[in-house]
Amino acid sequence: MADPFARLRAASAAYNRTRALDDVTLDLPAGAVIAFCGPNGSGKSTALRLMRGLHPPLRGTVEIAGRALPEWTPRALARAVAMLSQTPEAPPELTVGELVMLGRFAHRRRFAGPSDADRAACQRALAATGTEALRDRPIGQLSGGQKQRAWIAMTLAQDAPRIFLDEPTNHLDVAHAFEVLELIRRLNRQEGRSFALVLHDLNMAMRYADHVVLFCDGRIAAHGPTRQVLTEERVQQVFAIRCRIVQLAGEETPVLVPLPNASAADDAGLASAAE
Amino acid sequence: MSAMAAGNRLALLGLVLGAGAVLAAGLGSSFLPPGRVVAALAGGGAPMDSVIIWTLRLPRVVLAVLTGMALALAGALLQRVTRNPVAAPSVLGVTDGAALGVVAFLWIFSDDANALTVSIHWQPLAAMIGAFGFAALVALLTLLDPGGRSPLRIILYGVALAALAKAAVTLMMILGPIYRANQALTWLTGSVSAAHWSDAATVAAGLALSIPALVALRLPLRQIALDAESAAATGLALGRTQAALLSLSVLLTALAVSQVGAVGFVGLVAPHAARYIHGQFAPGYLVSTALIGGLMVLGADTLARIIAAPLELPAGALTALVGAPIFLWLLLKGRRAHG
Amino acid sequence: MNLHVSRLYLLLLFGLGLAAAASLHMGLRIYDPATVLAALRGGTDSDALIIVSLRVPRTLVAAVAGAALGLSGLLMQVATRNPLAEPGLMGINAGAAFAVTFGIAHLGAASLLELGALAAFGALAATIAVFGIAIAAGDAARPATTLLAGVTVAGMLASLTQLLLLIDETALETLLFWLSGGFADRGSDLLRLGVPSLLAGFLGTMLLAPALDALRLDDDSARSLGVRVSTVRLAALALGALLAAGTVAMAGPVVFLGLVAPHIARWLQPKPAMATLAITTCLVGAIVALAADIVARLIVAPGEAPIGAVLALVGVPTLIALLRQRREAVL
Repeated sequence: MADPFARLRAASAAYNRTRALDDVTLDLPAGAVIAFCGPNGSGKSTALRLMRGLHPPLRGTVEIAGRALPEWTPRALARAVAMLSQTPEAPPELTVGELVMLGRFAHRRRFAGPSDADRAACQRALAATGTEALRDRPIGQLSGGQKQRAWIAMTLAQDAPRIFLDEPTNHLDVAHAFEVLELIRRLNRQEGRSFALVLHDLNMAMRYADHVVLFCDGRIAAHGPTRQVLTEERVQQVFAIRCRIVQLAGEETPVLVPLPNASAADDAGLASAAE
Repeated sequence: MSAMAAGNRLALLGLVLGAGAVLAAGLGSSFLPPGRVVAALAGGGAPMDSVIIWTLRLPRVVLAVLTGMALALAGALLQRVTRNPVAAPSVLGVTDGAALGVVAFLWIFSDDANALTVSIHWQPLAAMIGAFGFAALVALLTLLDPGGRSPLRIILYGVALAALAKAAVTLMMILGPIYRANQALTWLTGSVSAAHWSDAATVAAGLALSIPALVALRLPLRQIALDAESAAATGLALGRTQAALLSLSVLLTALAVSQVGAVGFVGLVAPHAARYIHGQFAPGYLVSTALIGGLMVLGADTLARIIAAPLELPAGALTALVGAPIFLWLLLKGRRAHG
Repeated sequence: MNLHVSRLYLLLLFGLGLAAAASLHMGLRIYDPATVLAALRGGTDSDALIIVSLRVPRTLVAAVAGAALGLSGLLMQVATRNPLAEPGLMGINAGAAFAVTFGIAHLGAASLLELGALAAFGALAATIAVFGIAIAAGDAARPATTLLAGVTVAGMLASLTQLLLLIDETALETLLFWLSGGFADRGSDLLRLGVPSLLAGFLGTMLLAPALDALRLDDDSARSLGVRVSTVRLAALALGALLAAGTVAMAGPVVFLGLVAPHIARWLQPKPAMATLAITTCLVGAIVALAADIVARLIVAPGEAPIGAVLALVGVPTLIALLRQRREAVL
């Protein structure tokens, strides 16, 4: 991998002395859609927040596009990497259009109104997420899925070549989740943007990620091309569940079927029913 | 919020403020109808009218409007930066620090006969020193805080130090000469009655100097409405922006209270009123906040002159009386848009 | 209740006993324990008279007021999810002050009990006005609306009080004593207003405690746990108002205690359930009030320092020390 878009070097991180990431070294290949998978609390979000400079590493270094994080100015970094965090918040009276325009902060000129480029970028982001019709609606009046798409639009309006998304399919129904991930793939294939996403749905990762990083207990259990990482053994080991990967007739992407492990089923007294 | 364009709403507010100022300039021991006020303002009219308007009434009207603007802007910045709707300039310890400066000044520079040993014109300077001294203390405590520098901690330090300053003021007033206590009380209530052009010019100069900073900070001020992570992820230098907005808020408050005393309520409520009338993300939000603040203090001072005439009341006692009913009405009316 | 909490209670009770004992001994005249004990056993000399008729009521008023104000502040902070909330923000002190000023200036009220009743009435009327506005403004469950209505009503009432005072200066003398708040010379009959409100407020808080614990989550989560969010929030604010009204009737407007006592309690008990936190807050409030009252007697002797000023002198360094120790100032 010649030009990693983000890189962690022996990085550790903690929240109030609780270790969240433990001596992790990771190169994210540029130009790919990369999924961060793993159990809750395994360090996926922390790795993203570290790479975006939202959380300081306890030890180790972070590089974005070959430059150490402290060398970036906030605005330049925002033009280079956009990120949508897990639970973003904004005043409920803010309209979708105003929210998306906030994504242009790093591009806007200090003493002028929005430029044509700013307006065009917002328009593209609204169109791409199907939120044009919501432009004048206050975000306090949106449904969970609409709100999530509005926030994704804000992140896209930032026009960064590298985008981090922490659980972008949160609050989305299956159809909208597919739509967002198709959009991500399209932006990757057509515009060459790199993506790193935290994804809980392993089937979505299987279908849309080029590359998967599997986290476990603050360390990296495996990373590499998707099909090589998401194998039955690894998923069983990392999530402590049983799992089958099956190929459906006429489908290119295999389907990962998670199953409760035998002991959990025993505990619930369902062992016989599961067989 | 009506469908009226932002520009029209601002023009309307400006018009109301202008009309209010003309009316206020006409009111007093000898009433001048608006026509004669306008004539005097335009440089014509009777010479006597000119003298009354230009030397007696106008400095007071202008000072009231300008201090109202400064306090309202300070409140708007503070509420945004702390993300707390009840944050007001008084919570940062600035107002009480200024009060302490004034009371200490009156105490230290009084002789046994209760006369000041230095000119009273130094009093605003004492207020400034008190205001900045306490702001610096709040900043110092926050910077030295091992547990981080969140806006909430800044407020809590501010509240704590404000209480300390208030306690010191109370003790000084009890232990000091009674005549000084009365003089300090007037200051603590806030009044524009002793306005000179020089006072108004000081506030005007301060406001004019803050305009470039306000314009430069207008985008960060919007961005900071997002949660901290999203704001940082979109490129906002969070710590620096917070520091800049807080400093500007302190400066504007110190500017206003050093000239007119501890006028309360404006910084708290004017930004909310602007939110309901104008919208806090519509362009020109700060302008509308300033106009509303100016209107509130002007209204309070005008009422203070006529409500118990010939007795004059301090404007600071009436800002809430003028502002509260209007604000409550907005609060009740705003339920459709914001409930 | 785990061992840690019970040990904390024991410590606080011990501290309360110590403060109360100190409050009986200290003052313009400092008595030895024998004299105090003799007085409490029914002595009849002049020392005993001072202790029984002045020091005992004063100690009781301070402890009850401190506990009530602390609890009131805690309820307000939890119900509005705002760490700056305190009884004064809900218009309670301003309402009481206006009612008392009006009563003295225009109704000829004079006795402490009359003033106390007026204060309670004013406090409750102001609270009802605040709630009425918050409810009429739509969602009363939105804390910001209630707080804004509170500060607005408080500002208006304070303004009216100032007007009355400016116009009618004769009322000033009686009022300044009352308006500065304090525990001296308040008389034990006023306890008849303060104690029942403290008891009612405390019992109410205990009943609401499980729901208030749930209210620490976001509104929707609390609702899905079966909590009636608006009702619980209004009930908590009403209890807070009742507690503060009882106190203001006894001791006048005492500031700062309602803000600082809950913060100290949270520091002592970092991850508390509402019920235990309420008890801690009451004990802390009482101790702080007694300590401040003792300092108020000594600091400018033979005069008395205003309790609000002393509370700030005692409470501010504590608050700052606490802030420097805790990483997160959470609710």
